Amino acid sequence: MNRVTLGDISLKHITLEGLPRLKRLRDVHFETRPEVCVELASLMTRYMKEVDDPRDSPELRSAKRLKHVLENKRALIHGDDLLAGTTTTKIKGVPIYPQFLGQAMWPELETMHERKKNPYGIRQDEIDTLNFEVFPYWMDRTVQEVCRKDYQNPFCQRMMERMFFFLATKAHTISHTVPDYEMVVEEGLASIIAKAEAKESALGRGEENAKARDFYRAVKLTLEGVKSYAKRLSGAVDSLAARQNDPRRKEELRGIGAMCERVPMARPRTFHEALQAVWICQVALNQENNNISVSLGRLDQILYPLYRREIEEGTLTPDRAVELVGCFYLKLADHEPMSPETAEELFGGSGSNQAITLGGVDREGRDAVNDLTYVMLRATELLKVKDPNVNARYYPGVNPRAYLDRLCEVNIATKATPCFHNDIENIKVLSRKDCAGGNGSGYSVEDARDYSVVGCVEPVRGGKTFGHTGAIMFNLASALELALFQGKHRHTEEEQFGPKTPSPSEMSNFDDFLGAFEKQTIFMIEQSVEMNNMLGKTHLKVHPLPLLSAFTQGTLDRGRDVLEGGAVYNSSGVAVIGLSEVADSLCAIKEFGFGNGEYTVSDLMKAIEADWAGHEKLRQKIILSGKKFGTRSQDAADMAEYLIDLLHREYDRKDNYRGGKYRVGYWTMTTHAGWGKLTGALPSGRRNEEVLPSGITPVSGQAPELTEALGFVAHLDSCKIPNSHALNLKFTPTPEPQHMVSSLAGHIEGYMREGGLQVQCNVIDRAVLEEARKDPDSHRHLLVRVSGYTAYFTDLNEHMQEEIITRAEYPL
Amino acid sequence: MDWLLYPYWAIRRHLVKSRFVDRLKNETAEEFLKGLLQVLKISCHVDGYLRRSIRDFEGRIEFRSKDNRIRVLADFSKGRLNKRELDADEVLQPPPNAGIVFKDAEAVKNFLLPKGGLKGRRDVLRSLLKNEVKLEGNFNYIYRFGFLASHLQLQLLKALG
Repeated sequence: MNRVTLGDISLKHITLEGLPRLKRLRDVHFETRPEVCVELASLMTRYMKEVDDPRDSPELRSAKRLKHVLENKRALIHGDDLLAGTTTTKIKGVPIYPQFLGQAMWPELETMHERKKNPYGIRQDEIDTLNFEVFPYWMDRTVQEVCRKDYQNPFCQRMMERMFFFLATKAHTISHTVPDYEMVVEEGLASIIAKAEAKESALGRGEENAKARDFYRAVKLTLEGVKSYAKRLSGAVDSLAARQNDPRRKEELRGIGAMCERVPMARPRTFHEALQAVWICQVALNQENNNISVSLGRLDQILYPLYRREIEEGTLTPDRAVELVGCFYLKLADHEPMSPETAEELFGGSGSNQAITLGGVDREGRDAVNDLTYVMLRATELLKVKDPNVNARYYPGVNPRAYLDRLCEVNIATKATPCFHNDIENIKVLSRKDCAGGNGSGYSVEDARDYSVVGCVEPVRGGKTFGHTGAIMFNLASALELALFQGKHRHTEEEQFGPKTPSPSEMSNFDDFLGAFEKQTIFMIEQSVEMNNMLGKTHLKVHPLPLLSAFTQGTLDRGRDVLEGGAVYNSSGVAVIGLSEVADSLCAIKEFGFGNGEYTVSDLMKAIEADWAGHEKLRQKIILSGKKFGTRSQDAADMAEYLIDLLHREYDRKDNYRGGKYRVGYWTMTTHAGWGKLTGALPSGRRNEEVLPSGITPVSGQAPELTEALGFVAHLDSCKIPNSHALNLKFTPTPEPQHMVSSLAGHIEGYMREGGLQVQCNVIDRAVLEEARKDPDSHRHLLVRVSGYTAYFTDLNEHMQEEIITRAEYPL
Repeated sequence: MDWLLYPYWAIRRHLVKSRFVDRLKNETAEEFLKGLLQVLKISCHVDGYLRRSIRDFEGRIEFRSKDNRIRVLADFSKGRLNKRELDADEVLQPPPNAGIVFKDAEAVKNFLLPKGGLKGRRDVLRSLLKNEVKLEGNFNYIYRFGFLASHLQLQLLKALG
């Protein structure tokens, strides 16, 4: 049972000055430049060249390879850290995954250290390893290239590789999920090995069971790899302890060494052990797959029983708990996802975006906020780091208002985090089967109440769902582009991508245009689904995920990998980019192209083809028309509902490669900036190359009234947004902190009671952002909320910086 | 052993002295492409690092213009780079591992010798996003070629001092 016993829930007495270790580790985090680490790539490649047996099943090959990596990976603890184990050998490493898109770094191996944005350090011997040993071996073996070969270079892949229609991310990563860390803390991994053994023994010896048998063996092999890594960590820490002169640190290291000897195989006995166990598992998962949003789940619930018991026994204090949680946060930030230079410029600045979920209600619907929730919030407030991405659940009327106030206080202090999820709507969406077209995630009410957030904003029942919630990034503005130009895209000129629909100038009414738009949208949806399904099947063929499967409920019962539908709940997530821009554009086409008689659709076409040059009068009329997403306009609301319904309906008709459903959401990471640069002028009045709006946010400047913008989004049908959305708001801080807190909390509570799913806020003065752009070195720690995740402002590309600076600003 | 590299350094100095880059840029796209591949071919002979980089590289990359008027094949085989002009309608069997299709002559130059001359940064993805090039086939062959070209560019830059 969750309880709040803290006298001061803000824990203001705990400071970084009082926790010098945490301060030191935080300084190291900020001072360290990311460096490429070739350890994983090198271990994998050597294993494949020298040991791999191609006669083994894909599951066994994958498992043996990962076991080899875990058995040979260097066992490290940095500085005076309280947690052992590292994702890479570097303080802040950039791991290379050669089975995915690692080779994209090949052309810049010798120049990446001096690139303008987010340079990576790399040694000459590491360049040589990648250039001579690693990359050549994987040239024909990456998920992307095996898929191309197996499916004869399919059209959907060629379309995706033009980069501005959609991205199916499995070529790069398949993470975006929440492993079952509850099991790690409550049982330990030995129980999974035992279960896998029992399942394997229960199978008959027949050939029909060979696949399941291999799956169970694969699970065991990978977990034995984790065990080996933990043991070696224990040994490494023990030998450090033996050489340590400082008696206090010596004792600490001995303790950490003893922990690694026990966990994660055995059930952790202390709060510290539990964090160590989870961290070792996260490190191991990072060796299996590129970590893009391998999220931690409801840590304040999972770890609370141990926290509470130790507090009651007097073996733990809130101060020490903040220190431990802080160390854990900084460990999560010990690596950066690899990003080639152009991708960095267009889409970069993101960390691994590992979400942690706090608060909300428990499985029975009771208030789940507890002392540990506040401990984790204090660590968030003190560290102000981009990873993990802290997500707070709030159930109006069940969670106390003091909790919401505290969330707002932390948001104001950090300027960007946590973000806010409405339990009422999310639980409704996840638990009602009709919410996702009758065949959605189909959660039980208890599982829906137990949801946690993946990556940016996506709610799933952690540990039971394989949702790959970021499977497809879908550029809705490109569908509009195809409708405007008869299935062609201005960027690729004469190339025909979509079906040839009539030119808008030949259409007699708006319904004709809408018909063309639907046709192009459905075409793009089909292509994106086909691509995702092909990549999923390829992934299963060349890179099954036995370790992630071990951390996902359902797989052992079904004897199947997560990639084969082993999880209890299966789905794939879609993130749609450009909703409000397209809604505004359709409103403009309806009114100014086919409506008021003053202009024709040909006028509109000429205007956008000229990037509005010579058509400013028309542009101004459109901008001032008031029919804009985020206002009181019923036309705009109808258009937004139409789009949400179309996307939900059409994606819901498709099955993914695991027999699950596609779930649509509206969040953009930084793709809205990158894709904006590749999108021409649009009928909404948008100029060529302007950034697209982030998430489900109104176009900047088009929704000046905060309450109208909040009401507009809150009234959209959440049931058609099961992959959630990111509503980005920017508030100007005022000198009165208490007023800011109550004002922000009031807006959020009102928005949630009206039906809003999610909201996230930057509380920051425009002048500070502009100053940071001019003088990045003095603002390296400035945290901002992008579209779902947090980032350091100075790491973002110039378009993204501009987008955040020019976001609509509301007073608090 | 540096003396072994003397001919290479001499060639490089000569290339730089004769404003090789500027001269190439003034060539037609086809000559430019052939010229650069020729330099790369020579460099793969004399530069130990490049030589080692292509030692096990078995792959063929076709460079061609959108209208097929320019077609040049870079054939990496047995530790050598061979370049070959192709006829507009010539069918390659087996097909090349990868292809780079240039929008126009200018795109060839921008791709192989990016803006900023030797100090410019070649970027496969950027050219792709700007629709200056279209990639066909296995992207990893193109990334590998990108490394060789970047290395050559860096070496020439070093020769400039």
